[in-house]
Amino acid sequence: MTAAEPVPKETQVQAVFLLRFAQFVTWPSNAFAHADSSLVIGVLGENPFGDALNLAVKGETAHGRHITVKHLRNVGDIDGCHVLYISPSESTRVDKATSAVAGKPVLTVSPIEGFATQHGGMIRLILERGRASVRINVETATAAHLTLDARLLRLADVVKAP
Amino acid sequence: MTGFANPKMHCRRPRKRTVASLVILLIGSQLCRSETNELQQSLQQLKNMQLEDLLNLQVSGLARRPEKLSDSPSAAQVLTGEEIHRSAATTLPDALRLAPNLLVDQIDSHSWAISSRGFNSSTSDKMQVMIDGRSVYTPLFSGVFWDVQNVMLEDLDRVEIVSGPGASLWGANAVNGVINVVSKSAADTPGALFSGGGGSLTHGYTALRYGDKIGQDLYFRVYGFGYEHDDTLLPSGKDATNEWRMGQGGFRADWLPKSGEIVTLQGDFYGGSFDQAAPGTTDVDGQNILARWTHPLREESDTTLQLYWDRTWRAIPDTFAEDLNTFDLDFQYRVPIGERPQVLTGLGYRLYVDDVQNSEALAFLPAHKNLQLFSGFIQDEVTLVDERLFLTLGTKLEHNDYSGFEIQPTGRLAYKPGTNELIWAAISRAVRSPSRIDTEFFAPGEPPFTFQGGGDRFQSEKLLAYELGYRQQITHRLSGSVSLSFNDYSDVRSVEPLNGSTTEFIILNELAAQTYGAEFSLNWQPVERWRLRGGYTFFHKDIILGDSQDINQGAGEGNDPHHWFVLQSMLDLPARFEFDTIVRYQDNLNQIGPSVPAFIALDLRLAWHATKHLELSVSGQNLFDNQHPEFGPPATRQEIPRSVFGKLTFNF
Repeated sequence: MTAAEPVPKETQVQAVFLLRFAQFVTWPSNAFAHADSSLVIGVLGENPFGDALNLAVKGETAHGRHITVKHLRNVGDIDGCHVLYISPSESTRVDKATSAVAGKPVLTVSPIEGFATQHGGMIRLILERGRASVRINVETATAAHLTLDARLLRLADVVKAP
Repeated sequence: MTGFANPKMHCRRPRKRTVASLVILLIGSQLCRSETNELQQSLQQLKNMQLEDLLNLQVSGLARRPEKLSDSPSAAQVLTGEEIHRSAATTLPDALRLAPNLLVDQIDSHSWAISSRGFNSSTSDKMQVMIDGRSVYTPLFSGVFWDVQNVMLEDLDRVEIVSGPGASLWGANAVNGVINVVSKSAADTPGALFSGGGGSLTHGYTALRYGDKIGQDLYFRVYGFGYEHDDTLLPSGKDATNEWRMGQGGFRADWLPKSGEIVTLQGDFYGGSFDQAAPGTTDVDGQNILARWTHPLREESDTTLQLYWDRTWRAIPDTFAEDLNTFDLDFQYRVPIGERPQVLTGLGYRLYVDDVQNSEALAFLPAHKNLQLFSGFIQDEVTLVDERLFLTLGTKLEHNDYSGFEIQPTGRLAYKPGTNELIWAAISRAVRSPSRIDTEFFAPGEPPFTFQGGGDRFQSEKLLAYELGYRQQITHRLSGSVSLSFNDYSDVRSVEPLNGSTTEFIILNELAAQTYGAEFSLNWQPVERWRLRGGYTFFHKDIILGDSQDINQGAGEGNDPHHWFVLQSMLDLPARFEFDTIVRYQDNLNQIGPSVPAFIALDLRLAWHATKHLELSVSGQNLFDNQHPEFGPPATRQEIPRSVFGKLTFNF
């Protein structure tokens, strides 16, 4: 609430995680239209980041590509995204979003409960009792032809599909 | 400034803009830029961290809580540490006044009447109150000695307040409501903090805390605080003699070895005294220590084991003294079934070892008593229609030494017409099991007795509660809730003539009661810098005498107003100033028992964050009148004066 910190720390951490995921995950080359196409992070639903995500990716690259952020109103707009962040506002529509990109090379990320275990998502952002952690469903990511860096897998809590 | 006089030097500036508006624009963009800069710096720090460190980073977890609340099929309200910080509160009861679904009346410098859903009195006995998992109501009268329930307000995470029965989870005594006080994890309170203040009613307020980290995963803090509360006033305006002095210290350690695994050890000790005109000063002290281990099993599933010991001592000269030791063991298991969690189940054991020193005036007989409480509960949430309709069924089964087995079930139906709406309905049974004052109380202290406890004849007071509620998150800046309740009480406590006598009386359960009420709450943030929150409660109570010859004609069981409201405004001003307002209104207390006139109370707070490390604040409480009574009969009651308080908080 104080003027000094308009974006909560936890949200800033999530923004930086999205940047790191873009850098620690490898996409198949056919996921990009051109050699110099930028990597697109889509935010589906209410934007919890304020300016934080735009500022976090500003001037950064992933696999030599620029990173851009797109805000998506509904599931129909997700074409062209490489990372899909599903906002907590979508908690009742989460299955629709994950099935729309199933099998496509789109890395799905969300803080919604059960995202990686029950909703067909790949990376669940967890904030429990003030500590950030990550849960990854490797099977879903592999099925989408995404390769996850070993450093990421070592640090995350790895689960299988239900 | 000469530059502004020469338009050529600012050729791109739109012509119509005056110098003044340009200056405002510059200041505005400067403010924006400094906020953006701060965010950028903070992000850069995070980006400089290794992935590993980022995953271990401690960040506040508060933002999730309101979402959980909006899913809760009960009349729950949450006060955040921030909301309490921005009130003029110096004590826990002061902070509880911010909850719209609680009625908090100050009786004198150190006593309060606090309850939800009525039956409010200095010995309100239908509330379950917990501080960090430690139950603090006394088996002496099933109520709370609020003067010894102190917490370091700076380290408070939140207070959850459920109006209505919570007995299926929290057990006997959670009849009219549950108050759950939760302090921050030691991981969230790093560094040193010093807070000092004083004013017309509270003197010498001093609080110190130091928190740090040992190795990778172990966090701790130690704290201490003390204060003196001046006398409240007699109706004549003279000081009543009841100055209150309190000192408290303690620690908390949290070990977080891996995600979801938490081991907490915490303890407190306190001592204090309250002046009395006669026969003399009351002394209190207490110590407690608690260990809790939460162990994750798989996703959304964990077990929690908790153990605590709590000792309290209170000596009221020529009246009574009590040494109470409480030992408690609690185990809880949480498992997900299907999409929405969960099955929740647990077991508990509590032992009270109570030693009373009796006086000529009154006696608890036997003076020494061990009381055992065995409990178990199970709760399951079933999805009836995917994403729409949920049914929660649960029950607590308890065994206590007075009334034996008690079963306290609940059924709660929740319907979500949309993402941000919830309609819920509940039927619950709860009991207020007998306490020592109901069964083993005698006055005077030696026979022949005028009053005596009901012994085996006193039963539990029983409640069947019907509730209906609605919550909506209208926009991300506006949310509200309504809850309606109808409560049907039977076997309510009464004081009856013993065998038709006119001089001897016994405590029994010959009354019944029905209450109904409506609670409204609102949370609105019209602009980023301004937040409003609060609520209004309507409440009506009928005591049913039936065949009872209760000597109080039902007036012994609390006194409640028909209407009350609280409104809190929190406004962030430029230059790191905060201006906060609280308005409270309480209707006449006249439903039954002694009448107390209606009052409006106004609290104001102005704070300045001089730097990131220094906060200065000045606040005023009860500014509308010189003094007003809030509770009690005219002959003996005290009145609460207007007061001012200044505080300095330094943290680094």
